[in-house]
Amino acid sequence: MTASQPGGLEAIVRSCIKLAATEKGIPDDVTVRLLKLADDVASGDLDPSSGTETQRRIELLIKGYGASS
Amino acid sequence: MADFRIRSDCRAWFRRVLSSSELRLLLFDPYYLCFLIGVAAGRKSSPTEGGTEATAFVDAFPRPYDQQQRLLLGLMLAAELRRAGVDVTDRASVNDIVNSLAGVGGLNAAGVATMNEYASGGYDVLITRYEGEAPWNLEEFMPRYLRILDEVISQSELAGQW
Amino acid sequence: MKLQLTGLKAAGLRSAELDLRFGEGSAPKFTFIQMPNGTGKTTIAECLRAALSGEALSWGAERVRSFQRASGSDAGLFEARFSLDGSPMTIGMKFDFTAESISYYTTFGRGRLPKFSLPPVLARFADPGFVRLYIFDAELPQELLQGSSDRAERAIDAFYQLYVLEEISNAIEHYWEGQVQGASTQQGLARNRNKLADVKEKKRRLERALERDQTELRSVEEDLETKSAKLDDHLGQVEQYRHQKAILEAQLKTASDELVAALADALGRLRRPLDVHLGFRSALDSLTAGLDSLKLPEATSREFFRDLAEQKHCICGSPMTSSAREHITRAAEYLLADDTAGVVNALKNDARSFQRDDTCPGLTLVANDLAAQIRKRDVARHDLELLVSDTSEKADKAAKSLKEAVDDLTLSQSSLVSRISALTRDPSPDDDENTTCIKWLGLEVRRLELIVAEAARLVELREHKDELRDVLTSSARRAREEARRELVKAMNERLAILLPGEGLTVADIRPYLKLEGREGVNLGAMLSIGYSFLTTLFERGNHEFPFVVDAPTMGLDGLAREALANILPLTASQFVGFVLDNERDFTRRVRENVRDSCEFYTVFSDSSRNRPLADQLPPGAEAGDGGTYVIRGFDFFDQVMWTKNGER
Repeated sequence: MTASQPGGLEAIVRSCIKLAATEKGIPDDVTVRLLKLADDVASGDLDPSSGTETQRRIELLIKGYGASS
Repeated sequence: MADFRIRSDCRAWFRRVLSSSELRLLLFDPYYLCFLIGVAAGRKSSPTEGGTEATAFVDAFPRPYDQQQRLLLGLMLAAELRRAGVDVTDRASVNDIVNSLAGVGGLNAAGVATMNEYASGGYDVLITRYEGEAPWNLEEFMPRYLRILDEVISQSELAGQW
Repeated sequence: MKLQLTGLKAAGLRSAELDLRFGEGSAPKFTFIQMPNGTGKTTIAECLRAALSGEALSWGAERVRSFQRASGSDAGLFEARFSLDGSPMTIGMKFDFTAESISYYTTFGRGRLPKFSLPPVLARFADPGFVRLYIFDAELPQELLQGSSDRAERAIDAFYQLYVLEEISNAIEHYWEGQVQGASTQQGLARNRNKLADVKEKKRRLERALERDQTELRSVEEDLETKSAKLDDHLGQVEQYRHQKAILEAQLKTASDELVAALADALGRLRRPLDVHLGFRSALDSLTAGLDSLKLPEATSREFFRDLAEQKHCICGSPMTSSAREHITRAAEYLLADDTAGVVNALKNDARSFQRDDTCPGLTLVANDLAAQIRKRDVARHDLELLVSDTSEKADKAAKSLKEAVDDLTLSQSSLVSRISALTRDPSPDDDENTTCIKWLGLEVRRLELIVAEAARLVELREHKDELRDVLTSSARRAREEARRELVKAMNERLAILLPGEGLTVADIRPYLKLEGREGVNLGAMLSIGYSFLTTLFERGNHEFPFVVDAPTMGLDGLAREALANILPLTASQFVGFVLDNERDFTRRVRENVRDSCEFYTVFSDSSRNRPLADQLPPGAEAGDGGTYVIRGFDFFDQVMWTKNGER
């Protein structure tokens, strides 16, 4: 019983996020973006504590609601 | 020709004079009257300084000013030479200044812009010296304007030359 | 991420001098290093941990000194060699025993940095507590079972990368704070909404008032007209009134017309620069004179061409025909297209040729004349008004009351005009909510509408970001739960293999390993539990770490050792064990299981104490620099006798 794809987020964590997102009623595309963000942080590609890239992704995440809800 | 621009606050100040006039006034008239004060006092200011708006209203001298445009250029030239400290016999400098203000067709864009600046500066001087609130009509305005213009010309640095 | 230990170097420290590189190219799955006690295993383990956690940066002088060789070396070096996701990485520690300090260097990718600087993907795990989970010694298993430690829980968070969720949640909050700096909150939104409603209401009220005033003005003016006419009729009955009135009205008209003419005249004069003021006139004249002296080319050139055209012969000698003349004139225009000269000459021309008003009275005089005209007109007006009111006095009651009505209506008219003007004027910079300027209120409505929209947007934004953070928090909580369940199950399965028949089960693993129904266990059980936790945990996660263990099987009985030797090959990606000679059953068993991926080193220093070991060396074997023997190979490893050395 091993983990998920190399370098990304754990399978367990991933499915917990999906579940919590569904319960909260978060739109699907926002969830997808959140998972991608978590993946990139987990694999070391993105450092959440610094940089404009992270802030940009978060901005897209939060603002992305309007489009589909 | 480039746009002549009158400051919005200047236009607002002249609003009642323009609308209630016993004579038919052009919007160019208050612009011109301020310009006269400006060149007399040697005062220029940017029409858009401090965020004021300056709307374009014509792009050529209206009648009867079109006849006088070269003399207006002359007044401006005299004021500019004085500002730059250039003697009228300094050929190269005079050449430069003239070229910067005018071309074959009359005032060029920079020339019009300079005229706008004198109009703006002239307005600054006018409202400083005009006592009380904005005038209600031409008869109230005219005598006071004439006195102010007279004062300014006499007091200006150019008094000697004038 | 995959981390492997590929070599070690120690020099000038309280340990044997080492310079090992494991495997040929890549580290083997198992590396066993047999070192007698006193050869510096502890030193090496401590340094290795410090290399991966950076904790040596906080070591004090005494601690640093503790690594110094008994013989008193000045300097020492420890270097750990790794392969990180296939790329070589080196972390080194330079000991300065004189200064009693340590400095790091890190080599990875582009060159060497003179400091402790791990690549980001590994830097996350540089926690000293975490490093102890894979570079460990006998104390670890006990700690995992201790209530005072949350080592187990933190290990889980690290492996399942639950910290990612918290980091993202913090980044979201950080973003949010950036957005709301100075902006309104929910309260602010309500406040501005109310304000907007108030301003809109006020504007509506004033617009209605304006309408009323305008209607009233119309009616007042109609009434005024009617009553004025009636008054006139009444007054007309007074003798001489009409006659007087006609005269005064004519005077008034004349005065008004003269005034208008004077104004037109003044304006006309102002429109002619040469007539504005003598000062302007002389300025233009001296300018013109000055420009003359410039002798601009065109004047002289034009003369030249004019003269030339008059000649009988051209300068080239040919006779001047009419076509030649035409040519010259045209060419002249073309050649003289000098902008400056053209403009200047036009100016001079106008200055000289325009008609001038020879009287050119001073502006002040003109102003005074105008003022006099105005007074004259005002007097005429006043005289007329006086006539009307005087006559009304003399006239019948009806006339009197009509006059009063007319006066009242005139007053009403004037005040209505003034009120209407105040309502319809343009906004001024002094205006605020107390203003009656409808246009200003209109602008204010627009401004507030924008603010309200923005605040509403922020309120919505906040809801979203709170939702996202909730998702992250509850996911982390759930994931921890899931992980716990999963691990407990897997651990117990493994425990059943390591300690069959013991009936040991783990009830929970947070914050430390809790056993089912047991207070305490013996060392062997503790080790087994510890191993089962670590191996279970480390095979999860997207990260592989090497296990580096000092005396891996000490305390385990033969069966447990065998079980461990069977389990390890299936789990850890790499295992490096510093073993004693009494762990050979374990090492043999491992070798049987993973024959090709196992390396054996025997290390001991060349000293009198180790003479019996040296005596068993194959012929030709020599000590390396620093007097250390490093013998590679299973045979020597397995057979060398350590009698009289270390503990058994």
